[in-house]
Amino acid sequence: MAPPKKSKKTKRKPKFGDKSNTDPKPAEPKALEIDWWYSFWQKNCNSGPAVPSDEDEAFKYFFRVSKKTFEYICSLVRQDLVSRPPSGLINIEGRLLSVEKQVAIALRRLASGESQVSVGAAFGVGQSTVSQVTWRFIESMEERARHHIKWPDPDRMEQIKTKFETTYGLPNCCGAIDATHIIMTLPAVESSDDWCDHERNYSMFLQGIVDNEMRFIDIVTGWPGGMTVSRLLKFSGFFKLCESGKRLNGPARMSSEKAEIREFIVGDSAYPLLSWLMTPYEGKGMSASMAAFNAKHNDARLLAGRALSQLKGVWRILHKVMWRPDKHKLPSIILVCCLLHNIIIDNGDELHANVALSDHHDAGYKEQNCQQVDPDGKAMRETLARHLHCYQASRLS
Amino acid sequence: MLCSRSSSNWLDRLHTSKGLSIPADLDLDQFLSSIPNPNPNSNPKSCSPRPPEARPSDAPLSQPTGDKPAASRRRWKQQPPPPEEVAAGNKIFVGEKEQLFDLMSSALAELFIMRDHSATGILGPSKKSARKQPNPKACVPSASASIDGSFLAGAAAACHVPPATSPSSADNSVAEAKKSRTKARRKRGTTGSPVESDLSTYSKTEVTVIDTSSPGWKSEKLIFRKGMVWKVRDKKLWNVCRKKRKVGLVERLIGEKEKEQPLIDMKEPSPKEHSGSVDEGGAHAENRDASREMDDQIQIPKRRPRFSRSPRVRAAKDSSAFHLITSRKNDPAFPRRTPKGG
Repeated sequence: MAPPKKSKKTKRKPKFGDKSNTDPKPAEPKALEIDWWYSFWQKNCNSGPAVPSDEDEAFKYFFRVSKKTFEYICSLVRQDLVSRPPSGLINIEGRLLSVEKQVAIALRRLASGESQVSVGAAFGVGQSTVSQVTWRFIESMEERARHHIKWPDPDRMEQIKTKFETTYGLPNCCGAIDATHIIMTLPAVESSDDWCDHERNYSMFLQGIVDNEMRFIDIVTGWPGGMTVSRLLKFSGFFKLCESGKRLNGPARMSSEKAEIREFIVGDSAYPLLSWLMTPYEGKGMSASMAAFNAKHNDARLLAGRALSQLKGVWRILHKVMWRPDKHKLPSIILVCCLLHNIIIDNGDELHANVALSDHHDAGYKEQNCQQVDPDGKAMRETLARHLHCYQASRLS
Repeated sequence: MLCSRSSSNWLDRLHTSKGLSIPADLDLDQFLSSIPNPNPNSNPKSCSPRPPEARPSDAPLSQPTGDKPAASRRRWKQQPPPPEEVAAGNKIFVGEKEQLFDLMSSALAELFIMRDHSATGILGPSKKSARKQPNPKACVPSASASIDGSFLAGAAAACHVPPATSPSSADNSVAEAKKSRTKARRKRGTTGSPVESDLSTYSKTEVTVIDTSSPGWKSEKLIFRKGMVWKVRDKKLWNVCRKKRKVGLVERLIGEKEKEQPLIDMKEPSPKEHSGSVDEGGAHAENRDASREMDDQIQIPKRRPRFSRSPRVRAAKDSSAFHLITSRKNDPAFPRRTPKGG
C-alpha cells in the first residue's frame, strides 16, 4: 500500500529548479529547538559510564561548553547556518535543521572525534549531513569568531606580564610557546615525505603561544610535521614580526642589576635561544642561578604544553588520527578548535577535570633540541637568571 | 596490441624473422581447426573474410618439425576427429602431419610463452619478453584515491562516500593530478616557469597555512624541499570562501570590522568574481604584505580553489539558489562582504 501523500511530501528532499518547492519550508518551531537536546540526551545518556546524570553537566560532557556558551556560539554563526530552503539541511525526517542542532552536531563531531556516521546516528542525521554541517560551522566560525584569537593590546599585555611575574617570577614575560603534531593518515599513493615527521607519522604542526590563562594569543598551523620546530618558528609570521621589532616591542624592564630585560616569551629547548625567546639551560654543571632560571622557566612554559593537552583533550578530533583529511581544510579545523578553546576561557566555563589529556600532548615524540643560540638571547638569559637568583636571595634573607 | 592483429600477420612476421619457408597459401586457422583438432562444426567457407594472404588450407605441408608439444597437443586431442578429416588424413602421412603440427605448436609456444613447452624447436633459444610492463609505473591518484572528500573523516565509514557525490573529493583529485603533472614536468626537466627552474630537484608540496600573525591569516604556500633544505614560496592569499558569505551580523561586528579595515581595503573583490564558480579566477592575484615578508618569495598565480561549501549550488548554476546568491551580489542594496581581513 502506498504511503499517504502527505507523509511522502514531507520526506521529499527539495530539488533545485523545483519551483513548486521554493516556498520557504518552516524551520523547526522555536518550541522544538530545545527538544533536540532532550531527545539527544535521552538517546545517548547511556552511551558511556562517564555520562553525568546532571543535565548541565551532561550537556558539557557532550559539547564541552555550558549552555550559555553554546547559545553564544549559536549567535555567532546563526546568520550563516540558518536553514533556508532549498539549500537548508534537513534531518532524516525531512525537517530543516535548526541552528542549535547544527552547532550541536558540529561541536559533537569536534569534541568526540567520532566518525561522522556515529555522530549522525546520535542526532538522527546522515553522515553527509554531519560532514556538511561541520564544515559550514567551521567556515562560519573561522570568520565570526576570529576576534577570540588576537595578540593582546598593551593594556592586556601589561596584565599578562604582571601575572607571569607574580606567579613565576619572570619579569616582562608575555607568554609561552609550544608546538604539537596533529597526526593523520595519508593515501598510500601520497608521495610527499614532507608530512612524514621524525616519528614516521604523517602530521601537521600546530604552534601556539598562550597567555597566563592558557588562552591562545597566536597560532600557526598548516605546516608539515616533517620540519623541525625551530624551522616552524622561523616560517611563522610571529617570528618575522618579532625580528622586525613589530612584536614584543613593549617597554623594557630593569633587572635588579640594572640590566635591561625586554619583552619575551618562553619555550622549550626545541626552540632557538633568541633575545625575545628564552629557552632553558642545557647540560650539566649548572650554577644556582641557572637552576633557578630553569625552574621558573619550566613552570611558565608548561602553560603552553598544558594548553595543548587541554586542546587535544577537549577537541578529540585533533587527538585521534585523522583519516586522510583534506590538508587544505585541516588547518581550518585546527583553528576553530583553538577558537573554541579560547571561547571557553573567555566565557569562564569550567571544564571537566578529566577531559584534558592525561599525558603529554605529543606523546611518543622525542624532545627536539635546537642548538642555535643568539648572543643577545644568551645575554638576556644571563640577566634573567641573575635577576631571579638575586630575587630569591633577597626573599630568603 | 597483439590481439588486434590477424593470425596471418603474426605468422608472416614469424616466417620473416625466423626464416621459415612455409607456403604462402597456408592458412593457420584452417590448419589448426582442421588437422590437429578437427571440429565437426567448422566450415572454412563460413568464416569471416580473410586477409588476401590467407587462403583455404588444403595445400600439402612439408616443413619438418622439432619436438612434440605435449600440452598443446593434449588440448587439441580432446575432441574426436570428424569423418571428413579422417578421410583427409588418409591422404597424408601421419608422421609428416605430426611433424608439421609440432612445428606450429613450437611456434605458438614461443610466441605465447607456454611454460610447459619444454622444447624450443627450430625457432632458436631467443626469449620472448612478456607483454606486461617489467616495471609498471604507479597509478596516478584518482578521485577514489582521495576518497575522503568529506573533509573530516574520522572513520573508515566515510570512505564509503562515492567520490562523485562528495563536494571536495573533486578538489582533492584535482590537486593530486596537478601535483602529478608538476612532478612529471620536473622529471622531464622541462620546467616552464622560471620560478621552478632552480628548484627542479626539490620536492614540492602545496600547503594551506593559517597564521594569526599574518595578514588575512590564511595563505597558500609552496614548499620545496631537498633533504634538510626547505624553501617556501608564497601563493596568493586564499579568499574565495569569503565571497560566498551571506550578509549578516555585519552591524554587530562593525567595531571589529573597523579594526580590520586596512586589510579589507587590500582585498577589493573583482567584479568578475561570483560565488560557486569553478572557473573563476587565478587572474585576480593580489599583492599582499605576505608576499613581501619573505625575501625570496615570488607570487605564483594559481587557479582559485573551488568552494566546496555548497555543492548543490555548484552543481546547478541555473537553480534558484544560484540566482538568489548572484542577485544578492549584484544588488547594491546588499553590501558586498569583502574578504576577511586580519
